[in-house]
Amino acid sequence: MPTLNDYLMLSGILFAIGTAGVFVRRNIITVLLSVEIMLNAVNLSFVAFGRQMGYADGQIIVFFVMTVAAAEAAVGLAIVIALFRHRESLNPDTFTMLKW
Amino acid sequence: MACVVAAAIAAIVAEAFRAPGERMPIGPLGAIGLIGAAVASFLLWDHHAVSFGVVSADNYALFVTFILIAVGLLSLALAGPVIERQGLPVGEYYALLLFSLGGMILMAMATDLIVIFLALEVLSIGVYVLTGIRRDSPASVEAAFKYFLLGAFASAFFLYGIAFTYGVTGSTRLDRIGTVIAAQAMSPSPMQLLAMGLLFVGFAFKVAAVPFHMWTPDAYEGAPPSVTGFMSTGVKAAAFAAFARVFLSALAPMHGEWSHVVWVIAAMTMILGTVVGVAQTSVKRMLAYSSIAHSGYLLVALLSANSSGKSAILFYLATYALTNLGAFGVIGLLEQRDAANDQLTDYAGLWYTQPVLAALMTVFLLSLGGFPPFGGFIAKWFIFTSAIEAGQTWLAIIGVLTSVVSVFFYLRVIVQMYMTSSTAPLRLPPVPLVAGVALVASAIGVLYLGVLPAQVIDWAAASIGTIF
Repeated sequence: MPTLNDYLMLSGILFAIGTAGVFVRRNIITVLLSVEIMLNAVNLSFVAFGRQMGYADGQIIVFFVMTVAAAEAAVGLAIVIALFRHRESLNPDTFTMLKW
Repeated sequence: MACVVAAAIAAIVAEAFRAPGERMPIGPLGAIGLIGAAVASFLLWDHHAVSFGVVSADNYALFVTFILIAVGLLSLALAGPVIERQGLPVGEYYALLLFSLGGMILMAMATDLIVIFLALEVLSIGVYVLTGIRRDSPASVEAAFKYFLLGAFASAFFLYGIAFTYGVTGSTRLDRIGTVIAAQAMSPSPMQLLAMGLLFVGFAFKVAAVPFHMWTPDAYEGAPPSVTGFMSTGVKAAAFAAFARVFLSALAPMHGEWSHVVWVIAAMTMILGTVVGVAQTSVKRMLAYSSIAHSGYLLVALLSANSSGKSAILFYLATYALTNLGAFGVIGLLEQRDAANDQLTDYAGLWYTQPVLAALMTVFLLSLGGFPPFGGFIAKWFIFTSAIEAGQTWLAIIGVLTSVVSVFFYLRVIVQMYMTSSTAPLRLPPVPLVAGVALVASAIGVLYLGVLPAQVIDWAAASIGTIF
């Protein structure tokens, strides 16, 4: 039977994977996916805390977060498409028009 | 009854959202909605309306709402010429602007971390799209992407902070969190510190404080100037309102823990904002760094957190909103379809070709630099005195020194406008009436706040005194 700590550990690992992905990956779609992983890591810890305390709040909050994540993904992908039309590239290192 | 009135505000704001799609004068419609919201907030003053226990229209929230409504009205008025010149989609522009304004107002009123998060996302998503609304411009889209990516990244951190706070205290409501933390006899647990740190990172991103400021210059430069004015003032006001509410009410018992971090960040923000600002050649980018520095001053006020410091935050936000919107409004009017005209050299000899615009720009820049008799002077003076009262003498010294340095880059623009003659003077279309009136109104507002600040300061003190 996994305990609260196990869930928190898993969520921490997922969050770290997401954070590392944002910095390391060289494809903006993967970077967006990494942000989604971070949000879902947070969802996991909300559910775990809610379950631990015996309230439904945690699960309800997750629904809000999922809605927000979906809206963000939609806007993010739209921006990526607009960007791709100008650059024909998905590598964030090429986006260097604005600097200092 | 109070709830009904609070719902009425929501309905009026929602009414403003319905504007899109129709082939109507959408801008005025939005303005009517905003004026309605202003009237409703005026009626709500002193009522302390609370709905569902998570949205509270107390005087503090209403004061910020007034600032935000002023920001909204001026942005609507100043957007007109930019939209026409760039051929932007009118309905979407106004709708997104009003949506994010709604999110900002909700953020100022929210008393629950989850509602703050939702409001933050509502306002951010609107502003991400507005930043990239010039789809044919690579710079605009790139700015939107950078802003979006870092914004989404930061909101994940913020949300993780909420999750830990929820885990430690069992609630996301600010009043309950405050009670739980205050009731604790021991020093805070590591998890609590982690939660606080993550929340702080989230807010610091939104207000563009220093280690988290990388998106600011890019986003401000790439976005159309009318959008930049809107997001540099509105987002900052809303984020600071929620920042102050969370850190001065729920996390106030942990003041000893967070004050050191805020001290360092405030000092770094002021120094980096001004020093890098000096090196800029683009006026838009220079104002972006100046807005980073202004976040630093606001953090000083937040840190002082005595009674004058708290009202200084509100007064500073009001002054800064009017001044910065005005400055970006002028930049927006100077821009042309195929040339941004935002380099320092483009301002050479502006006084001889466009004396009124040059004079208005002078008022705004001097106020940003903190010259009497403009609002910026009183606001800064207020922040530094409250910092000294709170014993933060070093921070006040850094603040005064950095504002002296910042005067250099504000004056450089003014020198360009008055004392150099231009080789190729700008040929500009006549200034549209509405935008002109808005600019003059904000200049008068800046002067009013500088000459007769007592009334507004009293309101600010009264509104913030009721809750913290």
